[in-house]
Amino acid sequence: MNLRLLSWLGSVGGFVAVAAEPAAVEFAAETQVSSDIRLTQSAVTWTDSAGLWQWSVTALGATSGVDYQPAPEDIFGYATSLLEGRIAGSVQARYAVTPRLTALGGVNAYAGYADYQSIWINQFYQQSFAGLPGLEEPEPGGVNGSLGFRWEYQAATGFVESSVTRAHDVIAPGYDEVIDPDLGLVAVTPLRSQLNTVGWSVKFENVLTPRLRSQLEFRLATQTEAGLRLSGVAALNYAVAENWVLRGETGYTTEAPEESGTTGTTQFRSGWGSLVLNRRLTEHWWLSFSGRGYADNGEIQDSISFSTSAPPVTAWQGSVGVRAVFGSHSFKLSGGPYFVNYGPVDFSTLFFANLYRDRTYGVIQAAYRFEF
Amino acid sequence: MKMIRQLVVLVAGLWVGGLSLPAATYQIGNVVTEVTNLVDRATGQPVPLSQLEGKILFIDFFAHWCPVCRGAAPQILTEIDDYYETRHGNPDGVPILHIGANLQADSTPANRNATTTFIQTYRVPLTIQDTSRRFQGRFGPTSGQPTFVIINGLTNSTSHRPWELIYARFSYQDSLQTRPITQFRSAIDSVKAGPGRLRSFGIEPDGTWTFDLEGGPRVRRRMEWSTDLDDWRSSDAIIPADATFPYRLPAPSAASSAFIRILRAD
Repeated sequence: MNLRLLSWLGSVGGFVAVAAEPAAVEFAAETQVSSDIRLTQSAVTWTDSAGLWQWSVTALGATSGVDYQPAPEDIFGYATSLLEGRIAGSVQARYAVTPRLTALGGVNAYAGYADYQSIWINQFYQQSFAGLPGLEEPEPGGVNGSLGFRWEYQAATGFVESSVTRAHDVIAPGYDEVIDPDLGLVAVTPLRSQLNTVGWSVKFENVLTPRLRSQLEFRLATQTEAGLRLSGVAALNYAVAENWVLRGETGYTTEAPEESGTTGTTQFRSGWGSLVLNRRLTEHWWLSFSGRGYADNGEIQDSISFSTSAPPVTAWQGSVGVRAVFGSHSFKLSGGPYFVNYGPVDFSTLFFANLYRDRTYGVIQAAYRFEF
Repeated sequence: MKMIRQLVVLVAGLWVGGLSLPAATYQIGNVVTEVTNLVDRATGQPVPLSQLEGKILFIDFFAHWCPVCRGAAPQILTEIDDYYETRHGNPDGVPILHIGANLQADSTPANRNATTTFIQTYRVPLTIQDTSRRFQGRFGPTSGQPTFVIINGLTNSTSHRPWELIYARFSYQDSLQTRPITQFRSAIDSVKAGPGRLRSFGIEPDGTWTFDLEGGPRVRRRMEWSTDLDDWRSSDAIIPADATFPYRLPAPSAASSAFIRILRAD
């Protein structure tokens, strides 16, 4: 769940390319900065093909800078600045089984905190239980793999793609106290630190008219100690005029609390939508405007009395971007504000009032692509 | 022979086990006997009963490292301690004594300092030690904290017996997320002060009876008197608390003695 905003930021891309992509290398960088959070991410991707195979290999490096500020109730906490790194690698491959059927596969691996929220929460535990036996210096990371197929069931106009995903993540754990009958707190025991996720998705892409393409996607995912998560995404690409393309996307996710979970929790629901307008200015230059919105009703709480779960949130992002294509070279630059507004924390999440406070970010993305 | 030995072992085990059985948990309405042997953390000495009598005891079992205790503490300070201090007690004027029951042993200087910081930060007026959690265990599970307990320390209450357990709650927030402060206040406000005692009585030369009453500052009382204990006549006036109240009794010419009683006006 902590990944939701970042993954949402990255999810609004174009449709999956239908035709084989040319060999290319792409460098991309992104930064997202608020008054107390600084996130950067850089990636290089090599895409190539040989015979019936096509693949892309990505290496990624990211940093998360966090100015940790304890909540007023945390009388033993102290402010500190944290900087964590993350590296990741990914290989995606496609194999043309027949002219209309493509097998898909991929593996990803990463080392480091997946998001700044985890860094913040871990710092809370490190300060709260400093020096106690059982307190771990976490080494989060994970691997995931996917297998699927893409079938062109209607020549050049109808595609279905489906895949299953299996992921294993090591996360920074929460802790239980170990109480000695005479001394009180003498140690802590780490709680769940491994997450296993299994997911399935199916996506339909259709060219409805020469100017209109649609995409419908359904996803199912189940994770350790979490309920079944269902998502639906619908998107439309519409060529408004010769040099204007409008892309809209909307999605909805829901997750029921786990059966054996705490009573009093409610079903998680989130919805999002985006609009991107691309305008071709000249033969080489494009201009784009985009707006995105996200809202949810708060993460499912894993405990009544003390929880790290986020309260309801709404988020808005606007950006303006330019893209230039000169022969084999293309450049992209975009930026804009990103507003995140949380609902009030309740008693159980009181200690994370500064983590879940409203923030305004500035976001800048840049990319360069060279096609061989 | 082997069976007999096993029986002996079993009986011995039961005996030893019986000795170590935890005391039964108090139920609401039970009288809490442990108030006579609470140990003051500051002095290491037993807390004198005189420090507790006449008050409503709000006992908060805490540990400095417990996040829920730290979250609850500022709310207890402002919404219980300060709230009743500015109102001079509960609606009947009975003062509230907040007692912190420390569950963490002062086993290291860090622990000792952290507990002291907790007590000072949240201005806990009296802290007792319960590191064995025996006292906490009389009110519910000892597997966590905080636990909140409210006990009547008023000896002449009309609503509760002395040292009667009025309220007990394990943890601060329950599954319904009911606001515990409202429940705490409701329990505290349920304690009714007695009508007070007659501290002195006199008859002025002009026949005026003079009473000096002891009782809660906000308890409205009235007086009834009788010469035969059967026929009680009531005063019309409400007697102000803690005040000398002059009352003129009709000349009891035929009576050799008179009885008076003080009742709550409500």
